[in-house]
Amino acid sequence: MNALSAHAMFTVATTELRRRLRSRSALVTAFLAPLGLAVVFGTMLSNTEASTFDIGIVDAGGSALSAGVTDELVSFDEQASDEQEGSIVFTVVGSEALAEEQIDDGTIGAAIVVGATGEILVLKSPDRPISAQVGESIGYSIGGSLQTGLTEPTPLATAPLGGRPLNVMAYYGASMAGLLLFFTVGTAARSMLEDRDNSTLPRMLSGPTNVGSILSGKVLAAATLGALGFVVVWIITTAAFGATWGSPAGVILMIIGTVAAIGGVSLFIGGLTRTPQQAESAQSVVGFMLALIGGAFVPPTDTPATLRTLSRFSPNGLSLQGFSALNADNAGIRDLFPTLVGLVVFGLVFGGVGLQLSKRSVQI
Amino acid sequence: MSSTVLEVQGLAKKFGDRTAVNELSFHVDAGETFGLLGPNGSGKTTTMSMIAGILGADSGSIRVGGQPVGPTQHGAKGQIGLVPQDIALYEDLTTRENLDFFGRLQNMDGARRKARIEQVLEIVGLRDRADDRVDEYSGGMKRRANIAVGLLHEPSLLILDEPTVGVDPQSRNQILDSVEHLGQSGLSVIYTTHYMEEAERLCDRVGILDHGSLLAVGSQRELVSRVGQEDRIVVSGVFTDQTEIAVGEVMTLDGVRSVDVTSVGLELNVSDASAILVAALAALSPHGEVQGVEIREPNLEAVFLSLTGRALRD
Ligand SMILES: Nc1ncnc2c1ncn2[C@@H]1O[C@H](COP(=O)(O)OP(=O)(O)OP(=O)(O)O)[C@@H](O)[C@H]1O
Ligand SMILES: [Mg+2]
Repeated sequence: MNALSAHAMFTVATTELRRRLRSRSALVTAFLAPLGLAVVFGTMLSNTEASTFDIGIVDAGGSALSAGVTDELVSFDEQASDEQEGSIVFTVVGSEALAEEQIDDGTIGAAIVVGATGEILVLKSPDRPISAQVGESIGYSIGGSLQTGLTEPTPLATAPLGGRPLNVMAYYGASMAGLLLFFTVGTAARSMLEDRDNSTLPRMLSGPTNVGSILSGKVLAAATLGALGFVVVWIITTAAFGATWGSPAGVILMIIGTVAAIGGVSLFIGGLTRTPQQAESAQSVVGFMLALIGGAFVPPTDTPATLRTLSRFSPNGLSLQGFSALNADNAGIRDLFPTLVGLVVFGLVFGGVGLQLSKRSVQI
Repeated sequence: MSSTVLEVQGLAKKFGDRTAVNELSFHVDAGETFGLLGPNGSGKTTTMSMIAGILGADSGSIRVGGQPVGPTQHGAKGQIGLVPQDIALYEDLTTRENLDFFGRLQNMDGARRKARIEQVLEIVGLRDRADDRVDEYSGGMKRRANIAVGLLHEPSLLILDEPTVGVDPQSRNQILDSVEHLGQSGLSVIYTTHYMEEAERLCDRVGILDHGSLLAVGSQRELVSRVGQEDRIVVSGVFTDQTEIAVGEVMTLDGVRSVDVTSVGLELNVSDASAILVAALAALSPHGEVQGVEIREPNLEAVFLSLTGRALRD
């Protein structure tokens, strides 16, 4: 009788939801907290540099080609402007040295330096990571198209981002919603430990139910609230702040994948902890760390290569990779497949181990 | 001979180096109320948890209705109803919601669950408060709701782990009444307590547990006679300088074994208190003023004292 019972899982999940609705904690985790986050980030990002990406262009080559590229960039400016009101502002800067100066004093966030033969160098501001990111992606994409057009393809064409710049609001929306998941889904393990302490768990186990089914039910309830919270962030950033997350079907799949991965990790943490308080603080610490590694605060493209690699081993990193692909590359569901598989595997491995660990930690 | 509902053989459990339960063997017959009497930390809850199949034993066997019980052996679980020592309820739900939840986990189907919820609410006397949240209950009501859940799936063996802890005398009486009733209705009950009056009132047989070991098992009468306890007549009064004479006088009576002089009077150890009482008082009254008299028949407290050298509640 070690099999999970769907009936027990469902019974535990619905009761858990009922209790959380009654205590209003469900309202907070699934609605108010995500709403607050979306509004705060939406307002912050639409009123700061995020809405205007100041990018300098340096015609360093002085050739006909480099002048042409500069023109092309300006026309890109116009295209982009049509799509997203006034989001990218290009300024022609006299020299590379001048561009560095302007980056230092914050006038521009990045500079695209065009060489005589069309080689592209992107200077990035450490203080304006988002403009830097946008500058870099535009630089790469122009460089890529130039290279393919003129000579044979070069590795420069491996632009991390495609035709349109990463939508910052969608990026941070997904990242914050992912961080929030640690707290929401983490409540499952905590609730389990509380049940152990107040004897409701022993009482459940005195019937024909096992720990796995009970914990799975609790995770199901918490994950439902977590997914709802994610959807709230998605809807609010889109409807109120004009974020573009990409294909809705893709977003929904990514939300499910992210909830699965983070749910697994928080089950794992829950399995390692012995008291509800421990579970809660461990979830926050690990949540913040994985979010940090995953690029929730600074996009991984702006961080050193080792951290970028590391970010793939964070569920948040994997998740953000998928969301970025959706919103910047207009990726389809097929393109998301590897990321989704990665997320689900992440969830299953950590969740499976966590479930085993929990059997011990709830020992009466 | 009545059939055996629970058979415990050589049951043992250690937590680290501490032996919580040591080689317990006992049985409970159908329809019997069996008491496990022991002080704090004697291993009552540990034993109950193993019988309920939520805690694995280190060694020994438990059979309920002939089927083995353990954390991975679910065969007999439907026959066992556990009422944990703590209030094992969601306090933010109503009693009816709690009953419904635990009933579902017992795989009770809708109609049976509904009907049975009404029955158990009736048994514990909570029908009119069934739709109130448990955290709005008094301590005694919580205790009764706790019992209701244990009864829900119609177990043949009810495990009550100190069901009257922390309740006022009135609620306690109410709970004892219900348990008495359940016992009379044919349910087999294991009742743990460290109140000997409860064990005396409710239990057909009692096991005396101390430091994880069963020191003795039997009916109250058997236990008492086994430790050779006698009735006592406690006489309080003033015998002043005539105490010696008074003692000498009662000692001549047939059936008086010994007399102790205490700070408040005399204590007579006798073979049959009620048979000798009148004669004893008649012998004493010329030598002083008798202010009160009390008969103490040997009880489980005395048995415990005699077996362990300690009082039950230290
Ligand atoms: N989970 C545990 N871990 C370690 N020791 C334990 C655990 N549970 C019980 N014990 C120990 O086992 C012994 C028996 O405890 P148990 O709870 O069974 O006693 P009890 O008779 O129910 O006491 P009480 O009347 O206080 O409820 C005690 O010494 C206790 O400290
Ligand atoms: Mg106990």
